[in-house]
Amino acid sequence: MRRGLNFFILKKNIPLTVGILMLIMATGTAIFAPYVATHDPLKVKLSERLEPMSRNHFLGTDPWGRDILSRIIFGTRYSLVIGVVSIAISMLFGGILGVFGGYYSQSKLATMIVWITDITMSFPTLILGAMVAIIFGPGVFNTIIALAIAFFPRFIRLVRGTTLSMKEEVYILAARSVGMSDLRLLFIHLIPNIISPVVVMAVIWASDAISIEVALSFLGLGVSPPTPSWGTILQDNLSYFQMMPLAAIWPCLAVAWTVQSLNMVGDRFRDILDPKMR
Amino acid sequence: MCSEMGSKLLIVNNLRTYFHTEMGTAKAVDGVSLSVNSGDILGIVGESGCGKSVTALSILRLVPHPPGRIESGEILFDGEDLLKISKAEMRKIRGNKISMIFQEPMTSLNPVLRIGDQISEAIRLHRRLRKKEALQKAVEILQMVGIPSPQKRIYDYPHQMSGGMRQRVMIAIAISCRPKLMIADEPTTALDVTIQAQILDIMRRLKEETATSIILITHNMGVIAEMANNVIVMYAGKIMEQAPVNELFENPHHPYTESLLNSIPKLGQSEQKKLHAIPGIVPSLLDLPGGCKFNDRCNQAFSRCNEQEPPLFGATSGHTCRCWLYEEMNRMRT
Repeated sequence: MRRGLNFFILKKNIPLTVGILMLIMATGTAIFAPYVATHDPLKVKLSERLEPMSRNHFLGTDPWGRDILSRIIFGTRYSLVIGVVSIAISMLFGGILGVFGGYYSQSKLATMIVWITDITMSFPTLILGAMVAIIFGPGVFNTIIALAIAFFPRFIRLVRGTTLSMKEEVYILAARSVGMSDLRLLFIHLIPNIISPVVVMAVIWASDAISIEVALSFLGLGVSPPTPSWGTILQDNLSYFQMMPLAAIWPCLAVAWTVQSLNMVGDRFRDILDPKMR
Repeated sequence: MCSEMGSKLLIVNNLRTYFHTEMGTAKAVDGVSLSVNSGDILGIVGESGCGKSVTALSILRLVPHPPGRIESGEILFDGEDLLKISKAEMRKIRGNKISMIFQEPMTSLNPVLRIGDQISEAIRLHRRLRKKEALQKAVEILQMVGIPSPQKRIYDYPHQMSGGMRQRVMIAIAISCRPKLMIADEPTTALDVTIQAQILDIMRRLKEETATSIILITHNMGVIAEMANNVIVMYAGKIMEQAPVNELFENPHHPYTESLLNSIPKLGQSEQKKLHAIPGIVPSLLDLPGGCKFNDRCNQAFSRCNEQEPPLFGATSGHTCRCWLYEEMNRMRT
């Protein structure tokens, strides 16, 4: 009971268990993609273009004769990594700025941070991501940076708000009354208290990041075409939607699967990270 | 006052702490002077919002800034002016020489840290100890404040403890470095009566064992009567009356003190008689009446009270009072 997570929670919490299982399956697919996939996702074979579902190609082939299932399986790698890494970067830097902006809320720097956050928050995240992506150009690394910047203001605002309310708590004053310095106070008392809502939101926003990555790649602003991302797969297959409607639906299902699993886990994470449940 | 500086642990001279808000300046502490002898308990009473807590926070320089600011005054602790030393030096005094207990035990402990960690961390801020040694010391201190099986309790999170237990932990943190002065800001207000008695008992016992002076802030006259040696009655940021505890209860001067004492229900009071209440509410610090700050609620106010603010009379007698009714007394004694 005293240490670590209480796994009893898992037994009672069906959505969390299902979410975690779905997420493990997605992650496993990403890691073991070369073993799971039946074909080379990049191999063009025009003689087999637009084939329906068969024993050789479980989900059929796309307009260039590539195996759709294999492409979706390899696409999991790109979508998951881009989503998670961009959110992690965003959380780290947004968190640092947010904590300082909230703790020293009267300083000029903090006012500037709020200004910039407010201005960037007035753009929808997709538009902001697209703007940054246009500046950086397509590519996996550039998409990660674009998404990290797009989610940056969200994290600043979340962390700053939490810090603002948290620093008024009596235990912060009590910690100062025993002679603690500001920096120690931040790391020992403040950050451990704001980390759980931030992690919960990070998990939920990772699902947003994945869907925005799909959108950017679909528009040609994210991952560049030969690379199998769910967005590019959708783009490839959508033009032949009337001939092969299912081919366009498979990548969407993959997105839905991952987004749903992250949301389920994120929602229930809150309960576990609450110290009262420990 | 200055002649007996030797035995005084803390001397506050003419302290002014103002809050500069958009609506105006609130003079939360307006010219307060007080002193605490070594080993004494000084009680500060008054209604909510009369500046008791701000006085306490000012002594530790913990007034939230902005909007709060210590405008002027002196806080001499062991002969050193706390308002003149650097922030780093002030941090060495907080918790080490002067510690504080807060009103809400439910929220004054960090919910995500085990209590053993919180106590040992406070010790390690001021003493060069290994983590294990500090934890061992935490167990000892928890024993002192009467927490059963402290070896197990140091692994508890605050939410696993009751309010009384948490207040004991707060006291443990406050005494962990053997401070010379402990400021207790309404330490029992949030607790039920039996626990209140236990906590006061612990504080008194610790005071005797460790020779700590205490500033006890409360609005409970009963607590004052039981604990304090000297009492200060505050109203609207000013000291209204100051006297040794027996003198104050037997011979209250200021109409405000009298009213406060009359507002306590007494055992055996006839049922017909209504409990005395002071009419009106504490005035807003942004909109204080002219003259004596208490004039609009005072039952003995006369014209002069509205025009001129009375000074503290009887400064040399040990029983001072800020009321025009006692102008005569001042003349007689000085």
